[in-house]
Amino acid sequence: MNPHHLFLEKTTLLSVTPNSLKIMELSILNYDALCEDDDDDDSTVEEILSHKLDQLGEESDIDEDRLARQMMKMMKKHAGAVSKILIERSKISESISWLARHVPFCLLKDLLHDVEEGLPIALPYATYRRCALLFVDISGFTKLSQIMSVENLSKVKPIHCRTACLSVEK
Amino acid sequence: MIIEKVMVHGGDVLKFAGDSIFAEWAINEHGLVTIEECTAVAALCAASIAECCRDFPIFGGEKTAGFLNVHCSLGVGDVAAVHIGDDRLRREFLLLGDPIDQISVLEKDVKIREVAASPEAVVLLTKMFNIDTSVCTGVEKVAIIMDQSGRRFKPRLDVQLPMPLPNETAGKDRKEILSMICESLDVSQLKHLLQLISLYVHPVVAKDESVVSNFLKLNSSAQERMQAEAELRDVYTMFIMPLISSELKREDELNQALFQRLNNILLITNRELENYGGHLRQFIVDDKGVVLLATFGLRGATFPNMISCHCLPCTTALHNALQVELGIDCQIGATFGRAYCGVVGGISRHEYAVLGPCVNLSARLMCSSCNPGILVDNSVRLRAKTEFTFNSLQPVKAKGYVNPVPIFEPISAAEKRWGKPIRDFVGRKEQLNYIFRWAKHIAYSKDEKKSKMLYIQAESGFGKSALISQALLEVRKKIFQKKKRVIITRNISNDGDRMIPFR
Repeated sequence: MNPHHLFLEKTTLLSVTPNSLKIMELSILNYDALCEDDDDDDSTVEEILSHKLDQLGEESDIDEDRLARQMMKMMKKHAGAVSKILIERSKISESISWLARHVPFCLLKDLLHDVEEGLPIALPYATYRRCALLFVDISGFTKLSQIMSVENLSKVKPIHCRTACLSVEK
Repeated sequence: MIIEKVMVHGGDVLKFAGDSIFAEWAINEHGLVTIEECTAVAALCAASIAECCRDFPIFGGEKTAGFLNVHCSLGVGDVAAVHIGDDRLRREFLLLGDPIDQISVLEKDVKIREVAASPEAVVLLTKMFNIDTSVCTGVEKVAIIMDQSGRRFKPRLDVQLPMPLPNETAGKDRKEILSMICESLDVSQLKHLLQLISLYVHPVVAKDESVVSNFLKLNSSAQERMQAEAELRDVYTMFIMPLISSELKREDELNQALFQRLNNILLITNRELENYGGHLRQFIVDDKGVVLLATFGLRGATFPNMISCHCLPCTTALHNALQVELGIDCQIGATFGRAYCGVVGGISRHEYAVLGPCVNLSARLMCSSCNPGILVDNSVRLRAKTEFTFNSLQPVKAKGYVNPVPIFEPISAAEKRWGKPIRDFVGRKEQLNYIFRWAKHIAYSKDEKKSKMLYIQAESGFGKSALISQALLEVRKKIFQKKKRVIITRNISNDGDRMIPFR
């Protein structure tokens, strides 16, 4: 089997995003040199990848044959560890992606800033800005909720949210 | 559709508050450079929502059960986005400032199908629109910029209207943006980010996310997951309104004191809810003021004797804790009933919520002018009448309810069954003598600093309660005969109290 295909199958199986795939390709490009230099080093695969990722943005030309050889080599040696990292990243990213739908984007940006800064922030803390604020209130819901049973209300939710307001939309 | 409209207009949906939402247009977001542009786009979005959602029919079976309508209020100004809570239980994100206060005023006057703008917003809107000033009402010149007849504002010919970049977080793009964000972080940063986000979302959602298998996550669509999480449950809903002002001041010190106060309210609420096993759904500052919404009965928070041993004790404990520890009075409305529990909103932006008649009633009870501190409905009373006594109050007319609603004030733990000595108590002489000697030692000991504890342990049904009741009765009698002035206090713990007596 072509090592490139092997790699693609692996990444598809793990549901790695296109950008993750790119990162892996770039990591592998430098793997030969890395192995020659660090064969006796105790560095973990995480550390090796992390170290190399810092330099990878500068890489521009990709030699496919070389890439295939390097991928094969890497898969043989560290397939288990690389898979573990990718699976872990994938799981966490999926969870963040899902939970992030429950918070406003401005909050997400604040949190991202906190994480990048890496310093614990004492609560409470506030940021100030100017904005226009819109309050949209749906009238008649209380009256309807009293007339209709909860079961019926939950049945009509998909209809009313698709065109009007509250719930699941296509 | 409302979510979609907001996102298409470049807005950020901040909060879902029952059957309403808050959306924000901030400067330097989505191509909007000035506050005039933000206000103009928000007004256009409001008008678009009001037009699309006018007289929307709701079908109950084959027939039309009724119609939904919307009304919108637009405020503008400086806001403080405040993060409160802790790193263990829960955090919340609050928006405070002039726009909230303006909306609170507008909400008193705005009618269905209308869009109202605050005087501050009107000043900014006139730079881009010609507004029909005849619709401005009152001394404050609150403008109804859209009513039943349509829009009352038209773009000025000499000004080009802003074209916001559609919110880049809308629809499919949001996932891609998040993926890019995630890939720029290492694993430890990702874990930290996940932990932080989890603190801001509903506990049920955070718990579900941690236990749902990766296979299910990868093999089900967002819509399927949303539908799978939705259910109908019997829920105890508690609306809590601390009676404090949330108005921002000019002095930063005063604002910091306000933020600290709000933080303390959240910490105490979290603590009491953790003690009794409840969930905090939301902490919000809206047109009603500062409001917290807590529930019992959702996944992970359902117990035997839930109302009497968890919900009502938690309600009274929280009321007392806010009063004693922070000096804050509060009004609480609590109800029990079947409610929809699940996400509300669109695929790309939603929140976990509890919706139903009982939830609406709970909010009404909280705001009721005759609320003495805690008000509950008849469902709560019926489920806790053996353990609590209730003071029946005059039924009230609640907005949205045809008939007056019976309301009750829980006044104390009744302790009706527990603690009553049995008239024909026999036996246990040895144990009674031991307890009396032990009590006598405490009562007559000269060394006041010494305290003693007595543990009584036995299988359920062996008569521990009867023994203690009888012992207390005899101790009281004998000490009274000796004419010694002794105060005997007692506390009866509920199943849900956990470690409270020893804290």
